[in-house]
Amino acid sequence: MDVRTAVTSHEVTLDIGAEFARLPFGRFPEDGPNNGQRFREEFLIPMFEKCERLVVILDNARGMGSSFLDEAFGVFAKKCGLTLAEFKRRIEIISRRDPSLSESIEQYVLDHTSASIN
Amino acid sequence: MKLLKRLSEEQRRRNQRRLRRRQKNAARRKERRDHYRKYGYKPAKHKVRIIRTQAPIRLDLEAEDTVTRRQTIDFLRRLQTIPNIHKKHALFVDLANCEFVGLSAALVLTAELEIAQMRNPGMVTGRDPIDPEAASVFDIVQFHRHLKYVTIPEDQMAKPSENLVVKLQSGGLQDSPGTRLPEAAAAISEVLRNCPDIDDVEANMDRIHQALNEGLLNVLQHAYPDEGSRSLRHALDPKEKRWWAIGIVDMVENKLTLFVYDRGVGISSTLRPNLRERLAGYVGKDRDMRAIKAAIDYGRTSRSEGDGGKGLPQMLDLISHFPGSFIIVESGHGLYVVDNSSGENEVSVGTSEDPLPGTLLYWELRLDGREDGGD
Repeated sequence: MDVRTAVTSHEVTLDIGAEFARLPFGRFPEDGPNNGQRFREEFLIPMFEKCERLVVILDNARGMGSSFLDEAFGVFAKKCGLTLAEFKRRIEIISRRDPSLSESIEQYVLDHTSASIN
Repeated sequence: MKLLKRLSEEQRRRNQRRLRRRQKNAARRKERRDHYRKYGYKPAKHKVRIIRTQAPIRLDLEAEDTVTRRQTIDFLRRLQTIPNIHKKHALFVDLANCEFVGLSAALVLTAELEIAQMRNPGMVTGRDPIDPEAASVFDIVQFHRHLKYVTIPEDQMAKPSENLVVKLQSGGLQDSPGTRLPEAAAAISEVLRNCPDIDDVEANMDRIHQALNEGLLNVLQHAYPDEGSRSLRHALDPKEKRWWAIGIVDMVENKLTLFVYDRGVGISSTLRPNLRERLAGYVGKDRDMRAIKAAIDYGRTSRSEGDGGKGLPQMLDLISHFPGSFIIVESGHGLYVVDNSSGENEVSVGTSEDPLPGTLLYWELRLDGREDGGD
C-alpha cells in the first residue's frame, strides 16, 4: 500500500471563516459564542481524529487574536499530547493574507508542549 | 336642636368636599410620580439646582507639565462624582474656556458624560469650547452625535476635517459582548481601507483588528470584576460597565490613531495572585506602574490558570509592523510606553501623580513607514 496515497486520501480541510465563524473571539464560552475552546472541542479535535492530515484555512476569518489561537491550537496540542513536529506533520495552517499567523500558532504550540514537558 | 342639626350637615358636606379634594390631589400626585418614573425623572421636592463645573483651559492627558494633567484629571473626576452625589440637580459642563483639547481627553470626557447622562437622564447640559480648534476635536470624537446633543439634521451637522476618517464604537458589557466587541474592532480596522497606498492593506487591517480584539477582550475579562472594586467609590451599576474605542485615520499626516478606554478597576487589581504577591511591597504609583510591566513581561493574568496573558504583548507588537509608531498603556498611576520612532522598540515606564480613572490604550501608527529623521 502506497503510504503517500493513504495520507492524501485522508486529508480534510477546515475553513475557520466559512465553517466556524467569520469573527472568532476570545478563549472561553463566557467570552462569546465563537471562542477558541468551542472551536477546539467541536471542530478541531473531532476532525483531527477522523483524518491523517488536517488543513486549516485562516484566510476567511478576521481578527483572530492570540487568545483565540492560543486556546484553539496551543491547548489542542497539549491535550492531544502532540509535539511541534507532530503538529506540523498532521496539521497544515494556510494563512496567505497574513503568513505570520502560522508562525504565531507554532509558537503557541511550542509554549504549551514545552510547558507540559517541564 | 334644629340649628345644631343643620350645622352638622354643613360640617358633613364640608368634610366630604375636603375629602374629595384630598383624594383628587393624591391621585394627581400619583399620576405625576408614575410619569416621572416612566421617563426617568425624579420628582423634586425642591427647586432643581444647577451644578456648574468649568473645564480648565487645557484638557490634555498627555501634557508634559503636571499642572495641566492634574487639572484635566480633577475635572474628569468631578464629572464622575457630581452626578452621584447630587442626583436631583442638573449638571452644567462649561467647556467654553477650553483652548486646547487632546484627543484622549476628549474621548474620556465623552465617556464620563455618557455615564453621567445614564445616571441622571436629561440633567446634563453644557457649553462647547469657543475656540474653533478645541471645538473641532469634539467633532472628531463625534461628541455631540454620541451623547445625542444634536438637534440639527445629520446632513447639516459639522463634520470633522475631510482629511480625517473617524470610527467611534462603544457599548456595554451587557450587550452580547462576544459578538459586539469583534464587530466593533472589525468596523474600526476598516478605516484603513481609506489608505489604499499602504502596502498589504488587508494584512495590516487584520493585525489592527487582532490588536483591538485583544484590547477589548481585556476589558471584557478584567476591567469590571463582579466582586466590585477598591477604586470605585460606589457599587457599579451593570449598565455602567462600558467600553469605548475609536480609530482615526489622518490621510494628510499618514497616521492612524487608535484608542481603547474603560472606566474599570485598572490593571494592578487584576493580576494573578502570584504576581500580586511579588508586588506586595509596592504601593500607590509604583505599584500601578510595576503591575502594567508585570502583566506584559510575565504574560499572565488572574483569569486563566496556566494559560493566557498573550493579549497585551500582542497589542504592543502591532507597532513593530508600523515603523515610527508608539503605544501608550495607562492605568491608574502607571504608564508604559513603547516607542518605535527610532526603528527599534524602546520601552519606558513611568508614574503619574494623578491617576487616570480606568485604563487607556493609545496607539499612534505611522502609515508611511517613516521613522524619525527618515524619508
